[in-house]
Amino acid sequence: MADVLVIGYGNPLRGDDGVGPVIAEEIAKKICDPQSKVQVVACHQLNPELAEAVADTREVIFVDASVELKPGDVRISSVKPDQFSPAGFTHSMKPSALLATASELFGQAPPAKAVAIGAASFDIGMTLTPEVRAAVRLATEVIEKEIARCLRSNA
Amino acid sequence: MPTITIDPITRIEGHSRVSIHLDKSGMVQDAQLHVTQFRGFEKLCQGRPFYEMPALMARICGICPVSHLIASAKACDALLAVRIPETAERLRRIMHLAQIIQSHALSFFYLCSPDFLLGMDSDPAHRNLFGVAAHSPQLARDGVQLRKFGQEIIRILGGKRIHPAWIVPGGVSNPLKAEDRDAILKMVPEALEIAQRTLTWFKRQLENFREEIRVFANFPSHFLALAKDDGGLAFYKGWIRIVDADGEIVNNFEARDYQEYIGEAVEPNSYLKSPFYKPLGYPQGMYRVGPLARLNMARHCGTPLADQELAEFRELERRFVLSSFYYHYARLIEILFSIERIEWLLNSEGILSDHVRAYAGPNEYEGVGVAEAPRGTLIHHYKINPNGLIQTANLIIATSHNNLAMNRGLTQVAKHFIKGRVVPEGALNRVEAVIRAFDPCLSCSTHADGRMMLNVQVFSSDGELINEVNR
Repeated sequence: MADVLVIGYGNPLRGDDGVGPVIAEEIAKKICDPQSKVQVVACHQLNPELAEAVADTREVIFVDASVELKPGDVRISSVKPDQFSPAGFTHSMKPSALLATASELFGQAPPAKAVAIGAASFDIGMTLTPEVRAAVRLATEVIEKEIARCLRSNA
Repeated sequence: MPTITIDPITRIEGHSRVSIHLDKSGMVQDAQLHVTQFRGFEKLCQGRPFYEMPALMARICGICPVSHLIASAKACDALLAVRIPETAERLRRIMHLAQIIQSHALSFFYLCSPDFLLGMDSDPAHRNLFGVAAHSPQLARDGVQLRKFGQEIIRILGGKRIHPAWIVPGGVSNPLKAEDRDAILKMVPEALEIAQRTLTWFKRQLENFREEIRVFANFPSHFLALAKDDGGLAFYKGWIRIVDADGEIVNNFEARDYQEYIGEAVEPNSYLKSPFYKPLGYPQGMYRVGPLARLNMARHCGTPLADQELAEFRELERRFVLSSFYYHYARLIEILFSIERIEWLLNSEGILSDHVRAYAGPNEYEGVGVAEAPRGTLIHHYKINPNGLIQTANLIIATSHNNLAMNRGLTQVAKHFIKGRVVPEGALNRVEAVIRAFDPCLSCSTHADGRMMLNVQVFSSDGELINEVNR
């Protein structure tokens, strides 16, 4: 079982929406030990296929762009498994729904945090806006601290 | 004319709405599917170098990028005028079949199994994957595992699950490593077990859906699919074959000649094209594509377990299977076939060869690539200038072949289940479900913001909105 699973998600072709995968890749670069207890996934969307990996970890950290925060702001908050919203589901899920899926199908939903990065633009393009690009470092530090806390508590 | 609108349709890939037109007595007169988002990829690629096409075209779809990669790469092979190495072709086939598995699994388990397990009339609040998980966790886990199996093969071969750039003009970019082959082979037994278990379960459910089998786009039509000379199930290459409802071959032509036989009509109320068989005209030239067409056309699959299932499938309606409800059944058989075939290909001689790509410059100014995508025949057609820049591109996406059949099926099912202005929930769901049977991928237009709501509007004969339901 992994100690921490970091999932950065979003569409890299839609401007700041790609910040989740960008940060996931930053984290992966820093944790290049294949024996690491930290797993990193960069993907477009959350889908049910991630449920088994989520159930098989001690803590999960979701990383995504946010339309609710000011561009460049970073916020970390807890996420709980939640009732599924049937109208919104085809093949993508919210973190709360993925946690609930993990619990329902594989018997457990670990404690989870969501790191949100305020986005400025979702226009077509593969580059982040300057304010979101600047926030990548801050978000990465926040995630590293959270990983360190989790590893200490499981030591 | 009174009209019922279902907008958007839920549990399909993409965004669309359905309008149902009633006559003055309140009976259904006509029904139509409208695809409401525009993409414009054919225009987008003009002026781009042709060798960029596979990677660019894969972006058309997040569900079936591999199908676009295959069709696009084959069109580019034609521009290069090369014969790709045998190992490269086999590797492409493996990834393509993995794509078939994961896409069919999404359709069957995520989008459609709630209806099969919980019933067409069940509470829509629970008629979803969560409802399936609560009622039958094993079925839900099987869906997750089977889809993961397909995606994992794509990731292992191409480096990532979505939009892998491994399939290139002339072949593939990297050979298969022995450890990766072994990793895939290790996953095969569980996948086979799931596919067989699901088929057994689904066949037992059929008795509960006799009415749906009878009216879910159940009519004589032509069918179109790739076909091999020996009549085997074809996904990667073959003739484009058209057969009639009795199974008689109506035409057999090469992909490069498709424009002689396939016309592309456009309706003002939808962004989805309506391809038709030219000799019969529009819209009489309606035909169906996809799993039902492929299995109807195939004399055999070529793998032992799938061949047993195909023999049983053939007995459903004695001759050709005409009810579109059986698309679901056909999908499961194709999943079984794909797993068996992947195992065979991985064990074939030379699969680890380093010779996986042919190199050349543009030798032809026009190239057509065709493949059987999960939803049916997919055609990419490029014309380039002497510098290798795309001048025109024409794409016939698999789902669009079924457009005319889906509209006719919608009318059939709406006439059967909707009587008057008060539309019961179960009837609404069946109108959506007949579309889901075709597994239309408008996905190219998915990922819009907001909830995918179901909106039903009932208008009086003078156009006044008299009833509206949202959920």
